[in-house]
Amino acid sequence: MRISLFLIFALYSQWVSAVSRPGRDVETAAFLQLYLHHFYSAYASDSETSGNASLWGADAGAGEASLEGKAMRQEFVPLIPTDYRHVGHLPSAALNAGFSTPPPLSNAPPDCTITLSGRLLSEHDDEPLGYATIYGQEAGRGIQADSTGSFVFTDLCEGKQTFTFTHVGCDGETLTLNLRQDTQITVYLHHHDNYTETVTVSATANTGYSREFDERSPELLTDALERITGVSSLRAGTSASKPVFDGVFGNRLSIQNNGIAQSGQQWGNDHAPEIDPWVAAYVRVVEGVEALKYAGPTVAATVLIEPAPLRENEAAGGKIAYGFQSNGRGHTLNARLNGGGRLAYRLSLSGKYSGDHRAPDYFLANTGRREANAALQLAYFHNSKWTTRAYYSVFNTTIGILRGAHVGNLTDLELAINREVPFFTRDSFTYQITSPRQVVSHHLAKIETEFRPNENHRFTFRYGGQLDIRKEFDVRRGELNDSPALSLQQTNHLLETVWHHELGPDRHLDANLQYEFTLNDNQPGTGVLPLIPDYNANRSSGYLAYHKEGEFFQYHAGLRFDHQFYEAITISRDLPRRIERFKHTFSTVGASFELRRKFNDQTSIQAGFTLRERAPQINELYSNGLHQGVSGIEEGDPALEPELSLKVKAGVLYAGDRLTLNGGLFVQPIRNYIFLEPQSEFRLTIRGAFPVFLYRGGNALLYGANLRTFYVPHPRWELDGRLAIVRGQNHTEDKPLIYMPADNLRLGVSHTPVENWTVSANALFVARQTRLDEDQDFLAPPDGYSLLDLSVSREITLPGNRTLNLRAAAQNVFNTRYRDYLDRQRYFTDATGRNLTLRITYDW
Amino acid sequence: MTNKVNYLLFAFVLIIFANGCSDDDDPIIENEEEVITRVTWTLTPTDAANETVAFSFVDADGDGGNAPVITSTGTMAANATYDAVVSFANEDEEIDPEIMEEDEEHQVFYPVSSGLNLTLSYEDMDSDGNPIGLLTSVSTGDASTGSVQVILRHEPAKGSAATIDNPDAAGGETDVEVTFDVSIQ
Repeated sequence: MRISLFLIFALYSQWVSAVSRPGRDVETAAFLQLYLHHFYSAYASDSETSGNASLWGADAGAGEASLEGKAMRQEFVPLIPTDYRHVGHLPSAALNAGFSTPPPLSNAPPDCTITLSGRLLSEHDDEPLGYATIYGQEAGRGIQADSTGSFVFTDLCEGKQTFTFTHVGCDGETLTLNLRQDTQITVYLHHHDNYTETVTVSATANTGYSREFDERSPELLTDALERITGVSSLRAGTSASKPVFDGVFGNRLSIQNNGIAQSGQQWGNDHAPEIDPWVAAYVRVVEGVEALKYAGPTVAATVLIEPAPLRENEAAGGKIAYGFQSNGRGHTLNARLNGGGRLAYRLSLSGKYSGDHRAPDYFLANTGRREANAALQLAYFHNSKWTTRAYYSVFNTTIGILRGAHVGNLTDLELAINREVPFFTRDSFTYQITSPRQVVSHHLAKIETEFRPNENHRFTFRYGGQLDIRKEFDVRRGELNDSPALSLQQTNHLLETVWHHELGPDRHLDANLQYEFTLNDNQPGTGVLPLIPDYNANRSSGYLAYHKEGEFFQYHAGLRFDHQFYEAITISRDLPRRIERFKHTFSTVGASFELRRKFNDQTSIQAGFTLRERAPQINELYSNGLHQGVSGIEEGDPALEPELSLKVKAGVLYAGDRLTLNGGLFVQPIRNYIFLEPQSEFRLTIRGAFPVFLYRGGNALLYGANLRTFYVPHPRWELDGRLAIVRGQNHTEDKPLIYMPADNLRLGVSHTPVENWTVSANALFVARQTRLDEDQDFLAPPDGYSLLDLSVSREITLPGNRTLNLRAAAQNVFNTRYRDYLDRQRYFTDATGRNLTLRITYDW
Repeated sequence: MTNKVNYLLFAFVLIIFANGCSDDDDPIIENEEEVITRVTWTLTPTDAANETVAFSFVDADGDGGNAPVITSTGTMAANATYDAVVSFANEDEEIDPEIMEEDEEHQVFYPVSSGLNLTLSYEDMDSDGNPIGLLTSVSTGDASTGSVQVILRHEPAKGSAATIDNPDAAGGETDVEVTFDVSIQ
């Protein structure tokens, strides 16, 4: 602790000196080395194994559209009108492409009458980057591209002109042109730093408020996340789903909502992240150095879910959408309003209303859902050096839980497993939601201010506050039916200062300090002893990263230190009931080093490792009670030690003109891996005997491979394939890890038969999970399955830059009867059957 | 500007180490009114010559903590009949009135282990004419040993194929499932 304080103070003093004497890079670099040395020693004294690990520091600086990126590709095309789809058809993630100078022309007018026009496209898939902004430095003004990414910059002067192209979800680019005549260009922007590409979302889900992501608003958040290679969902039927990435989830895969670690009861496998997909503009999974910058428990990766940043020259506009889903007879209404200016804003609203869903053969009783969400995003541009942003979102939901999945004891569970049709199945549809149900509200407020005192420094001060209110209602006796059986309120405050420091054209430094405070309170009136105790937690952290991005060689190194404190306030299980307080402190470190070597415009390799400790979470330390869904008694162990994970991964990227291939391998040993160990003795209670599971630490190994291919055989056709394989073994028990996703393959084809029409088909193949011992589950893993989704959409351009989009889609087209291993309700019921969706979107 | 940044940084660092917040309030210990901690099954012989038999299952602190205590008094006579009453309670109150109030939503089942010569029949009815099972009639056969389970189900499908000694078809949630060793002498 003393060491951490010293380090944090040292970092602070360095900031001060950096601010007061900007440009003294040599001194800063020397300090960095000293700092790294201290960090290394601190860790080495903490843990025996650290001597073998080399630790470096750095960060990626992604997450916001930064202007320092190097990557771009641009082409000059003749002024003759051209079919852009053919001109720009070079999907590639190349770092840098040299560009040819425009054909020289004499007799250029001496006055300022040149027009630069062209189009901005996503490098990866040629998707137009609508509403991208183009700023002319010499001209001193900016313009905005239209919805198709086309722009016209008029009245430019002859000579050297520098332009900055930016678009949400992409790295911004600066391009200097020697203008002699009217010029037309196609600019390709690409998504974030290259070294995270193996885990970057499919590009279409990454281009700002892409139509595709908006279309997913009626679905659960994780359905959108599943577009990321390597992501599966851990589900509780229709009621909740959580992302699983490379075999880790829940307490090991934190979620960052708009840069703030999502608080709430994330330990629960049936507690979905309280985030509205409509607000999120892009979602990504990041690992390694970039993931170190974020708070929240994780062993390597973190999920980023972010709205698009606001810009001063944001066009005033909006979008309104209505959708109907046949399965559940659901209605979804979404609206978004935005405007620019010194005070830019965006208001997002969405509502969902659905009733009982349906498996192919029967209705799923009590699986309705309600949601009402709002988010307001504000940005105030004080001056060129100072910007303040504010954000507030509220998420409210009532989720029905399949009535037949509510069991009292092991006998009930066995009976339910052996049923063809779940208990309590009704013959008719209803919108009504009764117990069991979850009622959740989540508020997030964030305010941040960013100073750029000079070109080399950027400071951000951030506050994030969250209030999470969760009530879970069970089927109970008498008046208690109206009282929640679980009622938790969590408040969380995060303070963060961030320092971004440019050391040179291709090097930068990132650092942050965070302080987080969490208060978790069981609300009285449940009539049940709480499963999770009340607790107070606080955490102080420091992070430092160094970033070197040469043309052919990049490396990134990062370090993180966390000091965490917990005070759990428990109620004794024996009589008389007593209140007991337990205190814990954990100091954990994280370190990551990643490098990327580019051989040519098409091919590059990357490799990296992340060492990260994860302190035990409160449920692992102190949960105590019956876990209803799995009919087991789970007990925490206050003596647990932090997990130590080392994830090593390597990948290769080939990005040719028509074919992109991206493959990766990872191996991740985890020491003190915290898992639930079944005990040989059953515990006798008044409801019968229950199996007992104790949290304990062991040794585990995860490894796997991901492969993503993207092929464009013809400008009107796109093929997409994603394969994910992950294995996990618990060496302490000498058994496979549970909840490992089965091997899965996703294939997609998208076709544009005529202008403005898109037809697409997506198939999902999931194998049977065979790596599980018979005694590890109540029910053997279900068979593999395959599903087909189809969609057709049409865009109608209306006068005044307005568009109307119509879409019809079918999920599980063949109404396939299946159960998924990662669905915890597979004991009770088939998964949902066919769903037809109609959606209309008006954009202005 | 530089000064301003300095002060702000300083303020933030101060806040970071202020560590002022903490929750000193004790949580409220819930009144666990729903929990059932006591089951007593009392069998009164119809022939006064036999003795009254009582079984009880008590787990005063609920799940966890101390193990439940199972006791029995009296001896069951062979070839006899008994009027049996089951009663559910917790440390504060009797639960039976609540069950009676929601009698359509509750049913008690009594599975008997094979080899035990004991049969039961329902002696009470809810407002729909379906059995509740708080009151039963018990007949014993020849001397034998085995066990009887007492199962209280919440929201079973009443009128289903379930019988007094097999609740499988009824579904619902099990609120109570205790087993008593029975010896007929």
